[in-house]
Formats: sequence, C-alpha cells, structure tokens
Amino acid sequence: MTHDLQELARTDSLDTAEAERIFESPARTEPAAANPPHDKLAGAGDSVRNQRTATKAPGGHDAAKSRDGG
Amino acid sequence: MISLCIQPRDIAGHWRFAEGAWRSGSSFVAPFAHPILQTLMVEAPEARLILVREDPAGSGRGHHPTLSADLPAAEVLDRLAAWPFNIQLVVLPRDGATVTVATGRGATAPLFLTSTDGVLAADWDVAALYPRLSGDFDLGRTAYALSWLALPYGSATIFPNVLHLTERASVHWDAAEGRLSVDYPRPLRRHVPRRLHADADPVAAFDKLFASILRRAVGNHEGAIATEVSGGLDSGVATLVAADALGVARVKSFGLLLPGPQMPSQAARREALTALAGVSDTAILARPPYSSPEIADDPIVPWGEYYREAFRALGEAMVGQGCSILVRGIGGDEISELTSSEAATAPPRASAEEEECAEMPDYLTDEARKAVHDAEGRLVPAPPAHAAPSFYSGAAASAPVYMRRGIWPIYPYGAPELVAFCRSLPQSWREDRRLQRALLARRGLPDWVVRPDPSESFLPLRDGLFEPPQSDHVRALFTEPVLAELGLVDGPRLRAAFERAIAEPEAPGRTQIMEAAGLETLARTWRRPASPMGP
Repeated sequence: MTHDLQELARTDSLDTAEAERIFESPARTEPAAANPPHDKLAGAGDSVRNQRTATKAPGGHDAAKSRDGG
Repeated sequence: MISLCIQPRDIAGHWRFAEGAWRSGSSFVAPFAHPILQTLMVEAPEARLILVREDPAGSGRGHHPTLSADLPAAEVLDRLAAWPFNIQLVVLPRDGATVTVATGRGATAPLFLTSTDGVLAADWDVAALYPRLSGDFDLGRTAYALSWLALPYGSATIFPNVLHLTERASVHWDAAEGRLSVDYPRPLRRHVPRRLHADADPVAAFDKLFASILRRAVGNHEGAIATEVSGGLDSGVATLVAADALGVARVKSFGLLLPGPQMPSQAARREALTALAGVSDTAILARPPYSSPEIADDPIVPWGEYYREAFRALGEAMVGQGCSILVRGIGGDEISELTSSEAATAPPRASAEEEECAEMPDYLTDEARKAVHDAEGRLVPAPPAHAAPSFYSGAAASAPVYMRRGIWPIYPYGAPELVAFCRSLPQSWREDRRLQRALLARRGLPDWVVRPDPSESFLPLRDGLFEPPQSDHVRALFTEPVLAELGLVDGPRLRAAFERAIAEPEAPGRTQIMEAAGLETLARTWRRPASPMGP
C-alpha cells in the first residue's frame, strides 16, 4: 500500500489497559451461540421498538436480559 | 450513511467527486451530509473503492481525495473495513461485472439495497427506495412482523427485494443479472466472565472506559452534543459521563415526558440527573401515534420507531439548539445480559412484555399464519457480532428518526470494548443492572433515581392510539384495509380486535395492533397514495 493508504487504514485501538487491570486473568472468549433463527419480540415499553428484542428466547438464544430504566 | 444509484454501464466509467457525490455517468454514490463523515476513493488494480466512514479526527474534512493502492481490491477492502467506527464501502470492478457493498463493525446507520429495472439502489433511509419498489410485501415476513413486531436481525426485510446490510456483511450485485446476494461475516466469539481482583473497582473502570469511548467517538467535532435523558439508568449514565468527558458547556440533554401517572416521577428523575450533570435540559411532552397528520412527510419505516410524532419533536428540538451529534443510551440493556446458564439462576423477571406478543393475532388470515411458519424456516439471522443483535436492530430502527434531521447518533454502549468489558464482569455486576445503578449512586443520586419505581414506560404513549382522536384515525384506517387486500389480515376480525383493545385496555395485543396500523399506513402510501396518513 502507499503511505497514504497505510495512514488511511491505521486504527488507533482504544486503551483498555486500565479497565483490564480489575480482572485477575486475561480476557477469555468462547464461541457464541448462533443468533436464533426466529425470535418473538416483546412489548412496546422501551423507546426503540427493536431494543426490545431478545427478551424472549425461543430457539436457544444466547442470553437473557434484564431491563428497566433504559 | 450512503445513498447510491448505479447503472451497469457506469460501473467501470470515470468516477469523480462533484456536487456532494461520487459520480460516473448517471450513477452516483453520495455520503450522508454530516461533518463527522469522510469520503474518498481508492484506486486498486482491478477495482475502485469508494468509502464513507465516521472520521472523528476530522482529518479528511472538506477533502475528497483519490488514493492509489498496489494491493488487490479485496485486501484493501479487508484493511479498510477494520475501521473501528461506522464505515461503508462500494467496490466498483473495472470489468463492470459485480459491485460489492460492504460495511464494518459499526453498522448503526445501515444501508438498505434493492435491484430494480437493472439498477442498484441503496440508501440509509429505506423510504428513499420506496419509489423503486412495486409496493409488494413478502407475505410470510410481513405476517411475522404483524405477529412478533419485527424480523430477527438479518439481511431479510418485509420487502421481497430489499436487503439490509448488517454488521460486517457484504452484498454483491451481479450487474448483468440484476441479482443481489449476501455474504455474512464469520461469527465472533463472546467474552466470558472473569474473576475480579479483591480491590477491583468496576464502577470506576466502567466510568473511565465509557468516557474514553465518548471522547474517541466525538473526536475533534465541534459544536453542541445532544444526549437523551429518559429518566432511566442507561441514558442517565451516558449524560453524566458525557458532561464530564466532553465538557458540560457543550452537552445539552433532551427527553420525552411520557403521559400517565408515572410522569411526575419520571420528570423528577430527569431533573435530578440533568441538574447533577449540570447540562441545559429540554423536556418535551410526548404526543401519541397518529396525533399529528402533518407528519405524513415523514414516511414510515416498517422496522422503525413507533412513536414518530414524539421522536420527531425531540429531533427537531435538538436541531433547534444546534446539536448535530447525539449520544444515545440504547445498548445499556444488552451490556447487562446474563448468559443462558446465569439466567437460569437469576430471579425471574416480570413477563408483561412477553405476554403482549404471546400469540399470533387472531386477525391474521390462515394463509398468513401458514406463511409465518414458512418464513421462520427461511430467515437466516446475522451471525454473532461484537454487540447483541438487538443493539443493531435498535440502532437501525431509530437511525432515520435522527438522520432525516441531520443528526448523527453515536452509541457508546455498542462499542466493542465496552461490551467486552461488561461481558467479562462477574454475573453479580450485570444482574439487576448493578453496574449502572452503582455509578449513579456513587455520583450522589438518591435511591429513587438509582432504582426507578415505576420505571418510565412508553406503554401509556402507545395507549394514546386507542383514545380519540387517534383511535378515530386508526378506525378509519382499518375500514377497508389494504392489508386485507394483500391477504394478510381478515378485515372484520382486525376491526373487532381493535374495538376489543379499546374496550379492554389491559388485554394483550395493543402493540400488535399498533404494528398493523403502521404497516397499513405504509401500504396505503403505495396502494392509495392520496391518503398517506389515513383515509
């Protein structure tokens, strides 16, 4: 790449070192469960309609949610 | 954050920047006009790449350079798409065969694409594509939306020929065939909880990380910054941190006062939060759906915000006070997610919202009900990403509300670094929103702010739909519904359900009826264009 393009693609990552210091061990990841093939949505209590997604979890959703006071 | 229209004959032509867009013949690729966005072109050996991206540093402001690369276009694309903010790229091959439109990890102002009459068109506002669509709805997907309110986060929409460019995905357009196809990205791994040091201070770490994310997202952008303050936890945290991180003098808060008995407590929480933050605040009394015929010029997005009148007023207030960037609070629910195994041990949550859509509405036709089941089998969700799918769906839902007014929303809660940090916390810090509550309490807010009871809810605003004069509009809307002509609903049963919802306010199904009213309104703009708001 030319110098200009290298500069363009340069990404300064956010310094997370301080946040990381609270943990005893390095970051760990695991394969995430696939997003469900279909997902019934909940009510209209939140300000953004689709912010409500994933309160129901048919199909083995990866995570449940707590919600209030958005 | 792009509007484009590409004819096959122009793909390999001479592209140059003129009058706010990259142009070749009658084709164009236009960036959303906002000072935080940058656009440029890269000449690779076998293709040109036009990119539009968030550029908080402002390094490319006012310039539209063309750079050259000696790498294959695919490699250039990979390197550029790793940008940590929103980015969208259009790859124009010199052989004119297949155009690729790709996006990065930001994906909070997604593109919608269609191929009609031999032309590729795409826009951040799907309503801009409506004149190109035939007015058709996909029966199964639309019936799915009537039942469950929206499709899962993925490339499919309720329109048969419109694709949603989801996080890190690519859409390819075969110019000769006029065919669109989607490449989803590889699924990302999920951060898992870790143990904390005995003297760890997660609240301080969260506060500092949040502030860093905000400073990075706003960068060198000048001018006032809007925040939303609902009176709840997430927007309250965002406003307090924004005032500190960005400067209290430039942060202005805005919020909707929601009708109903909860309004005094919501207003009091808002006042406590904004007073502590030290920001100037604007509160707007939220108007219910179908209360303002004048918003007919604000076309419905089927997966968009229900409360168009209210949020339009909010956006206009932001613009009126010189704000062109908005710090949003959505995604706060998602950073508090429990994993499936954690949720199994957590106290059960109230299920009122779940009951709302427990069943398919009885006004769906038999054909539509069958089509829902067929659609469920065909929907392919986007793979796991940095943030939860509901975060991206939420951003896509509200993007047009603000972008139509020239406001660029930023989403600190969707930053991958913040999501990873919060997912790494032990369950006890995510359960019951402890992290956000602890931050508010440490800032000195009283318990009635830290633990809203009741929390603010849009349900009373929704319920305005079932009161005159709004209910008169909807009743007329349902008199001869286009949705019935399309085979989606049985008209008499829809009308009966609407009257039942008025008579029995506590019964589930009101949100589904609100969804039906929105889709009926949209369908009418196509089938009966003289009556965009109702009959």
